[in-house]
Amino acid sequence: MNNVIEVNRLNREYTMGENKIHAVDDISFSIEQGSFVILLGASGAGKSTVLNILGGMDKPSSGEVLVSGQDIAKYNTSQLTKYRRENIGFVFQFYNLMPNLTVLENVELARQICKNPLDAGETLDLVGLSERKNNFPSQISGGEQQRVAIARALAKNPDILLCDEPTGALDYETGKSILALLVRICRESKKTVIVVTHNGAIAPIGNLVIRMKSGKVESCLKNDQPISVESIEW
Amino acid sequence: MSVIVVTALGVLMYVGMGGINYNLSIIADSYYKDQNVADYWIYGKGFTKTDEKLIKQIDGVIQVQSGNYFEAQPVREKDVTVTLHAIADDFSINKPYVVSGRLPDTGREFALYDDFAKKHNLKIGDTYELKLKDMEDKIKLTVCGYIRSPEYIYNINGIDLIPDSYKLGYAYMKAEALQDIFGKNSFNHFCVKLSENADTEKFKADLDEKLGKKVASLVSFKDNKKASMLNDSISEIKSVTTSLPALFFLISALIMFTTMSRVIDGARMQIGTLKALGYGNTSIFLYYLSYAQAVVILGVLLGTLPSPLITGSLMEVYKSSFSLPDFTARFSIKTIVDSLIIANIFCTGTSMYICYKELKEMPADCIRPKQPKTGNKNLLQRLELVWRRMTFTEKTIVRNIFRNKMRLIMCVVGVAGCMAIIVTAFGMSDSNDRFFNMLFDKLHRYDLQVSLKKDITDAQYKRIQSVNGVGKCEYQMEVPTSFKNENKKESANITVVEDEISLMLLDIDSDKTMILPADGAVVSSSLAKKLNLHTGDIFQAQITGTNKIMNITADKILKNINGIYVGKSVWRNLGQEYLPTTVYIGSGSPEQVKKEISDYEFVLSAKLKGEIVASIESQLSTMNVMVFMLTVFGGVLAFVVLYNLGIMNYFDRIRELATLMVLGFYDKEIRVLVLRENTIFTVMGIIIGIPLGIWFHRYLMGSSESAGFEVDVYISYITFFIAAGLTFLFSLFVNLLLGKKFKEIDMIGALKSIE
Repeated sequence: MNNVIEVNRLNREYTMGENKIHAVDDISFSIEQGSFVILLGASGAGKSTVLNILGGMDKPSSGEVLVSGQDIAKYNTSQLTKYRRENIGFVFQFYNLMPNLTVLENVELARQICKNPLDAGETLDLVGLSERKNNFPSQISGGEQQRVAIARALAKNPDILLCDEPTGALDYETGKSILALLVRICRESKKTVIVVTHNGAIAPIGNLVIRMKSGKVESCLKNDQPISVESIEW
Repeated sequence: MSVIVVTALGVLMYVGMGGINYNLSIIADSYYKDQNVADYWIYGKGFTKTDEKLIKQIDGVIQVQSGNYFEAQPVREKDVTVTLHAIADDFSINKPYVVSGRLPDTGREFALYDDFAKKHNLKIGDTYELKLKDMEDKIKLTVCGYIRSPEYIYNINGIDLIPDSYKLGYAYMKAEALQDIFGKNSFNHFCVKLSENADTEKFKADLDEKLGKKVASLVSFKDNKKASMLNDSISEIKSVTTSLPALFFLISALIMFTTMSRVIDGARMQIGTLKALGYGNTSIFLYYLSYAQAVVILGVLLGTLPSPLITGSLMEVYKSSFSLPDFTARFSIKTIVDSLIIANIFCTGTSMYICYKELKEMPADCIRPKQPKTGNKNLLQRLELVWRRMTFTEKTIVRNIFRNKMRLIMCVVGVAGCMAIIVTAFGMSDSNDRFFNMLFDKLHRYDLQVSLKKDITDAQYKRIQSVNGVGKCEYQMEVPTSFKNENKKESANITVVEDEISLMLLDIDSDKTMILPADGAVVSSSLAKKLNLHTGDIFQAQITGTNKIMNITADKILKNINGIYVGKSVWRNLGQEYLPTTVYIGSGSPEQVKKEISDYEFVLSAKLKGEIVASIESQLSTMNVMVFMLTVFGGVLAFVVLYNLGIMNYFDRIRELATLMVLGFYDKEIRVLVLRENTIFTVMGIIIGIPLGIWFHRYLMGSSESAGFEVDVYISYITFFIAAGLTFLFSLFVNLLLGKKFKEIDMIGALKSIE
């Protein structure tokens, strides 16, 4: 399998007055197509920054970010928008659904801008929310909302699914079911899924675990035998 | 903050316009008081000092001043009139206001009206020779001072409606100056001052008893338009100066309402935390109250400071028509305090209400983020057919519009207000334009208007008719009169015309000629309204300066005329003499006729129709200033409302917008989503603004009168287009500014925090 993502000497610094903060400090890694990646680290480690850059929402200060062979580090704003539109599905920690559209419409919204979208109804079936099609986000639970967010990201049929602390706002059981869903999607559709988290206990479910600390990559370990979600506990 | 701006605008208008009322009232009152303007003018012939003593003895009379009053002209300019006031003793009543120099001490000098003197290049110290009208006598006096007289605040004579300080002047002198001509103890007028609660009817009766036939006319202060016109003007503008600011205050209250809701909503966390820590409701309440109060104070300050500009420019307009003493406009403390109170009621009041509602909740509830409003099926959705066909962008827009009803109402009201104001402004100009056009197209059909001296002989009439180029001649006589019906009294002119007229028509519907009623008068609709007259009613008329009361039937009531009109036969039947002093001439070569006629010694002036039209048109220029000002105000209103609400909307939805950006929506698509709403609001606002504007325009036109005419309410179609266009322009401008802001959304930052 080829590398869908290759990061070379990526740097992201912020200048606050006189201080320079290296959010991401000269990191390099590569990810194969179809992997379930856990990007792990404590708060402030730089993992969200990496995710944002991979998602085309932020531009690096220096370095290369090759996605399917294209260096997105060199993209301008409108190219990045196109990149986000067509290649990326993003799942947020706080769901960020459109409050005045129904569940079905939220998913169809994403489909509207895609070249090759999946059917909204089917995607909702996939996440198990067909009964909630005509409800509004305020009428469904947190877990259900997160599932809608995933469906929305999925419906775009992106190459890469990025999830920023997807279980952060959910309870233990619901969190686990979300993760199981994500793993299932990864396996079945062969999409690359990258999950950012600070919860080390989740690490074993991924087949690639990148640990970050203080902006640097501490370790980048492949795991050929990831364990199932049900068996982990935190 | 927009609340401050709109409050400031409201205050600006209120204080600015209220300032006019205040200052004018002060000036009027103090001027009248300081110069001791008369309560009554008594005109007659052969009055003596004995008569003066008799008047003094009448109940209620506190002061009497006698004098001779006569019209004169510069020796070679016969269409210029200088009214001479030769006053016996001191100038105690109707004391002239000295601009520079001083009042006359001897019979060799006189004080002149300053504008007139300036226009005729007369300086203090110059001698000026005048010839008394209708007589051969001349006088030559030294100018000792420039003055303005409270008797002539509105410097017009009977015919012209507009003050002309070249043609009309006045001078005050001591009685000795005219002694050679009139004699030592002969006067032709008295000025009388009555005590506060004197019985005017009794006074009139007593006067009649004591002086009887000697009195040719008695004019009260109210009837003497030259003196009292100012008071009329002040009451005229009252409606405009109160209603416009009220509109702004209302809008500012609405904006304050929405803004405070948002602020307090946003601070829920802090409020909850404070409450959890143990702060009482009162202290939180006071905090927000002081915040609102600060906004109000800032707004009032901001609005008050530039208000002199408005007061000043409107004052200039008044200064040009009225002859007033020099003064500097002062701030009306009362108006400022009033506006502070009103602004407080609106702004602080609404804040208090919102505060109160929020603080009722438990601390724990406050800390939790507010439950977003449930999206629900709105009206459009019920129309399934339409709904299914709409795209998401359209659905999102519609849902968002109805999500917050308050915002919907506010935006629409703001735009409607703007539209209404612009429609009113242009409408006023439209109505006036149309009125004057119609006046001069349909009614004034003459080519020349010639004013004649009184006491013209038949031979002289014939001379006019025989001038080369003169076609039709129609004569006219104006008689100042006071009218009475039931217990209402008004003064206006009786205009006596030919029995059949064609050059100066009264009715826009009449064809080429109009036949005056055989027995009765044509009454103007505004006079009829004031006297509560209906067609067929009989009312009383008393010619100013006489005691005879005539009964006249209101045969016809017409708009677009002033006073009443009677045919000369009717006039003669009432026992009056027909002595016309105006003639309308139809001619193929009016300039020629004018040249020849102006030289006749019994002709006072000859004006071409074009000249008359031009002088009235210059009056309309003040209207344009008002239109412009109102348009600007309307624009600012729309702008502020839309921008403010747009910004609020932006902040409310920043997470949504950031999400859309992450999802990969292009800037353009996102902008459309938000700005399309503004466009919809604008369209809705414009549609509602149309009837609002028409209604407001009608209200304003109805409560003001231009020189006693009732101007028809009329708004051209073009006005509506212009108004809509301008409103749209303002809205687009707001969209442009908001659009810029979207480019600056920081996706990551917006999505991280939870409210």
